[in-house]
Amino acid sequence: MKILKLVIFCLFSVTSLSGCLPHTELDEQAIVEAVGIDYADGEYEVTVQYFNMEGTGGSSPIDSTKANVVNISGKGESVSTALNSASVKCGKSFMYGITSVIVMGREALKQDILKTLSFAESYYQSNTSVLVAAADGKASDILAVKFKDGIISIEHLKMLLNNSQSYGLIGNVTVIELLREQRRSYAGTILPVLSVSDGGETTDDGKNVLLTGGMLLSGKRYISDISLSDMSGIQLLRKNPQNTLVSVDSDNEKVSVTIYNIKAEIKHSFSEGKLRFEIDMRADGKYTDSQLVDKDLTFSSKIEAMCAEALNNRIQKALSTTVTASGCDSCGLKYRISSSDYRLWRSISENFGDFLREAEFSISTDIDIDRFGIIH
Amino acid sequence: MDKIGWGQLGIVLALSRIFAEAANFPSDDINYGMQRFTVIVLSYILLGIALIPVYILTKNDASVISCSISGKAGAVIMIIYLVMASVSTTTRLQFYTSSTIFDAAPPWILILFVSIVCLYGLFKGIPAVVRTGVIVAALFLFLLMAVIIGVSDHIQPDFLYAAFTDRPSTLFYDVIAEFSKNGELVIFALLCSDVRKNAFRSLYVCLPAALGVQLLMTFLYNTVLGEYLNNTSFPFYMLSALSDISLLQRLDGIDVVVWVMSAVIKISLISLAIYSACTKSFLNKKGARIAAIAALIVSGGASLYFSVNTNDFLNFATILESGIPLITAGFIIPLCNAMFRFLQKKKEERYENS
Repeated sequence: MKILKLVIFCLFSVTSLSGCLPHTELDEQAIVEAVGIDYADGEYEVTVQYFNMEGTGGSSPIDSTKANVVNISGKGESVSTALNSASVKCGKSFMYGITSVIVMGREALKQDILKTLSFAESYYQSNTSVLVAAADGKASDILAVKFKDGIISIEHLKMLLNNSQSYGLIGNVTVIELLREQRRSYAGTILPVLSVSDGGETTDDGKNVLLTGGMLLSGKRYISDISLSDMSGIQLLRKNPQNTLVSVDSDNEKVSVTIYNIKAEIKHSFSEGKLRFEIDMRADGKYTDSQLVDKDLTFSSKIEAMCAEALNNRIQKALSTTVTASGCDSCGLKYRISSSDYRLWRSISENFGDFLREAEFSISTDIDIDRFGIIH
Repeated sequence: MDKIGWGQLGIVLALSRIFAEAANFPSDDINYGMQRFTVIVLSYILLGIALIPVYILTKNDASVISCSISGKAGAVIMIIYLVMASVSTTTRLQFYTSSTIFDAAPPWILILFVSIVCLYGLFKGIPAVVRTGVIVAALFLFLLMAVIIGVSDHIQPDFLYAAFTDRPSTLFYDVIAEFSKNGELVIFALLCSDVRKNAFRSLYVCLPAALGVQLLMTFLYNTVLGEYLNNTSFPFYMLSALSDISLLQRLDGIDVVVWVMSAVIKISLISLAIYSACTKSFLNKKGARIAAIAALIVSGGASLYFSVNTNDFLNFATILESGIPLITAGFIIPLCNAMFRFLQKKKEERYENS
């Protein structure tokens, strides 16, 4: 009887008291999928792309033939005030719990990145594992392109970035990685750059978004543009990419080899006031579109050497464009030193940027092509 | 009153100790660096050394450390320390919950609800609180495992480096501050008489478990958050929010639930310890219960004051972190009790032999 009374009391409480609390129904919230941040005339302009459950004209709440998203913009002195302004315009409160991508316009990246992105780290709903990308021009232009090849438009951009990373072209950057690195004055972060182009078949207006390069950030701000090839070179040293493609010319014949199982060991030494890094890279390879007919295995040795040289050049160029040119640590060299020789790190940490400008890199790559494909 | 097992008490004390790790104040020294490992290990070594004399003197009967030999003065000192610990716990919980998912809730609601649950725990008694505490500890372990799996992709061993200390000037202060968080020793001293037998074994469970979990959490903080840790108010909450496993995308909601429940257990244990100190020294059961309720009210009121006067709380926390209150209430008084009891026993033996 006592338990029955307790159950009745609990049921009564659950059904009656919950109405007393302030709450927001799901359809009163705008579920934010992506945020674009631009800066012009001394103020921030945000573009918020949110999930639109029924506004696309489909017969069901989610119409797979539509982009299922709506954009709204707002302006303000800070990103938070701009987001508030957009929320007021929208008439719904924003929910950031499943935001996938933050796109930052070129001008916004010239502002203090820590201040710009503070909204993404301090608000409890925000998720610091959100991907960050740069726009070649304005972020609003990137988000204006609405793709229909997923349930929601932003899935396309997310897949574009993730796929590019799996091919070793870029290293995806999350909010936490960006903010962590940019708090170090000499650290370098490379954001993938997105550009709007024509030729999109999954958009209503025929527009498309392409990955066109990278932007190097250091000291909390934009430093320079870098090419896709340089991004790829840095990526080989930063995180272990799943694979990367190398094309070489052999006897007037293009041979493409997919390099995989990449492992880079970076050793450092310090003498005569100079940092020296020895990069020893080992990887396996497989022919992607080779013409192995009538070739013996010595051909592979030649291709292996050519691939190794191509990778060496790619890394050397990437290092000279980012590390030695700007003195910023774009591939986590700090951690390589501090984890193995903390005393040395303490002695050089104050002027690490200057040491990086003067640093010497020697790269040796060993590629073993062990898969030949199914033709022969 | 029903007795509890030493394992149960050990697990609950460990949970209570780990709460201090999760709901830290922004000014607390949880910074990126290997020094944190050194600080934790040294604080536990210090704790172990401090416990040796008490252990030798009490060996088979740990309950003597809470007996009434040190009299009313000893009990009052212990109660004052426990009220301070309760204020600190409630304030930290209020700060933690209002900074995370209950950002719009007024502080008095958070404090009131927690206090009501703790009051209920006080009336239900030690066995009920300890049993609930074991369930919360299991939930915490589940959360910890889920977070480890969820952030495993983010772990970067390169963030670790070979140095025992990187801020030598703060090492001593850090160790003392870490050591002073072991208020569970006072709770143990007062509740060990409610353990069926081998009460001292509770510490064999509590200390290694708390040490292991703290080291594991520090490893995750350093290898996942790296230097970002210096700017994080609640590192474990941040890890929970980063976690991404197929079934549970974000664990920050569970994180808050676990820490709220841990705080409830901790404050309930403190209330029960105050009740125990009163009944052993100068009050009957009814009076002791009123005293424990009064302590809860004082704790809630002080937390409410500190919720709008953060600087005052930081000054208050400095007193606790100096280690002096813990050394007095957690070591000197129990040690005095144990020594008096030991000498008394010897005297009795001599008397019997003669």
